[in-house]
Amino acid sequence: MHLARTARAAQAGRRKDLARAAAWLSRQVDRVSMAAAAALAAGMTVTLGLQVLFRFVVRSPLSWSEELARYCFVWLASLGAAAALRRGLHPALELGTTGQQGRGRPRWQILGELSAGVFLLVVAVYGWRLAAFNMRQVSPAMGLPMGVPYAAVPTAACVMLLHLLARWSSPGEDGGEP
Amino acid sequence: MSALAGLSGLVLLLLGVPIPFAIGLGSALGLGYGGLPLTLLVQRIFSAQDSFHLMAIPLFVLAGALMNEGGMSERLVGLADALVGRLRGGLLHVNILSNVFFSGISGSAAADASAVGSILIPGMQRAGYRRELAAAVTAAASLIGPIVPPSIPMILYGVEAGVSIGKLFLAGAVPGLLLAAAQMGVAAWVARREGLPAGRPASSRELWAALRRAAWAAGMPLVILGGILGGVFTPTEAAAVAVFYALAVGWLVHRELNAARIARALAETALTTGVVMLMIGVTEALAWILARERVPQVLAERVAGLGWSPGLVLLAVNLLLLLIGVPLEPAPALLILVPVLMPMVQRLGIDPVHFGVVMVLNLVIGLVTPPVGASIFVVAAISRVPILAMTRAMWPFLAVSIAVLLVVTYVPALSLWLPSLAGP
Repeated sequence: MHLARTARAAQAGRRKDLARAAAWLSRQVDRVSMAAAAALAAGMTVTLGLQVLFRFVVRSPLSWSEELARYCFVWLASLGAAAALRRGLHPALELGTTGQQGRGRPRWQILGELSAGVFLLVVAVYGWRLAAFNMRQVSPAMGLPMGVPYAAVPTAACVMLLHLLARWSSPGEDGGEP
Repeated sequence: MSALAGLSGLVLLLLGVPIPFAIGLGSALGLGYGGLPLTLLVQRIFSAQDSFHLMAIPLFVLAGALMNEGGMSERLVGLADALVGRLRGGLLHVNILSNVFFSGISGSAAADASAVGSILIPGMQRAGYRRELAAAVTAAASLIGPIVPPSIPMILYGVEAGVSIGKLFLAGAVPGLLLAAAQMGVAAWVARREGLPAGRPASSRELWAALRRAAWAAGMPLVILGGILGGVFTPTEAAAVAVFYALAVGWLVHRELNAARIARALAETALTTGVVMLMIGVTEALAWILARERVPQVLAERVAGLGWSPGLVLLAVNLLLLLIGVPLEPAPALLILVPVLMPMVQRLGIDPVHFGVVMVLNLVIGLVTPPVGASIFVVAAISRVPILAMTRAMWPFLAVSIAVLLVVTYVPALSLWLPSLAGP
């Protein structure tokens, strides 16, 4: 009797620890991905600025700038999408005024998170395959393995799955940030 | 395969699943059902995002955010006030004109509504304007932003339809100014009916001071449009130049930008970009499935088979889009519908640049059509006015916007004259 209770308590405690770990990991990964996304946005802008400068002022166009900017962009978009999921920013169809101002988590909660989970799992699994397959190919201008830009999509899917897991394991704590 | 992908996506959407996941899962189901490899899904997402043209989106968002953080917004509102504040109901006109100035930089309705609204709504309340009216005019005037270049919805249309983005930008200029003029007409009528006060006229010295204060901010659209118009920059490069311009002015001239504010602008850019680009990726997957089964071509043949004149088809398309635009934001609506509608447009001999202006204007009207829409929500949050109350003050502005839509639909020259000057 007593033993069973302590066992159950231990189990509950372990689940709580797990939830706390997931929430912690989700928060840390989010901080890193937001910082990286901001850096990529800055990098993309600077690269394009250099492209304009070299074309019109120095008059010797750069060969690699467009490609580099595009790959920064792909990673920026992916990491941004992942961070947006944690903040509940991906829009749903607006039927009725319930969804307004995004406070609370209305209908999309269970079904939406489940659909998102299935979709993200597919993207993660097949995305890694595609990225691995493309490691042998190199980009035309920079000679970068194409797997590097391709990896952005499944990476984002994995980060989003982590955010969803953190939200599921500790439903009381809102994962959202202001 | 198309039917399954489309229907399951639609059902998920109606159940309230966020748009990218509803469409993404629908497309995955469609591909799986069609026996196609699911790597295609990721392939489509990636190749849609790997686009030089679409890079203009984060850059214009960043330029708009920097403009806001760097004190340009407030100076532009000051200039509008000096110019039209003296009219009866002056602050209504100031609100509309500010949106014209803003739209030369940001190109997103909700961003404009929040920038103008947060400055002007409190000011309007202090000056004795009804709160509902202040909110309604802010929301309605935010429509101008995505029509006057640069414009994020126009970029999306251009990429999806394979039309020159520079031409689309130019095509939006006259209809955008027409919309502003029409809304100012309504504002004058409302001001007379409600007996609103006229503002104090600015002296010529004050006007000069306001002009000098706002000169750098007002010069930004010239850099963007002049560069594109002169064929110097691609729209993406022009957007990058706009970012550096906003950075230089906010930092060196206005001295209001600092590292923290720049970081905030970059973070905002990352989130907005993530939301838009995920949507673009998954809708591209759906569009690929539809194209594989020739759904757009079949639709074009069916519509052509009806024997309707292009004018009638445009009317029907407009009505349909107005309805779709209420629950759906312009970005996903454009992404889903442009590939489906393009073969029909070409078959009927409608100019795709003109159709782009009609479609964007139509869909952004949905942003302010009650009871839902991004601009309404932003304004309701800033002004704390209930949406229903805002609706009552909004309807004359909404009605005139729809009238402008019809004029733009049936007078193609309004859209096509300016791009025709720029040459082929």
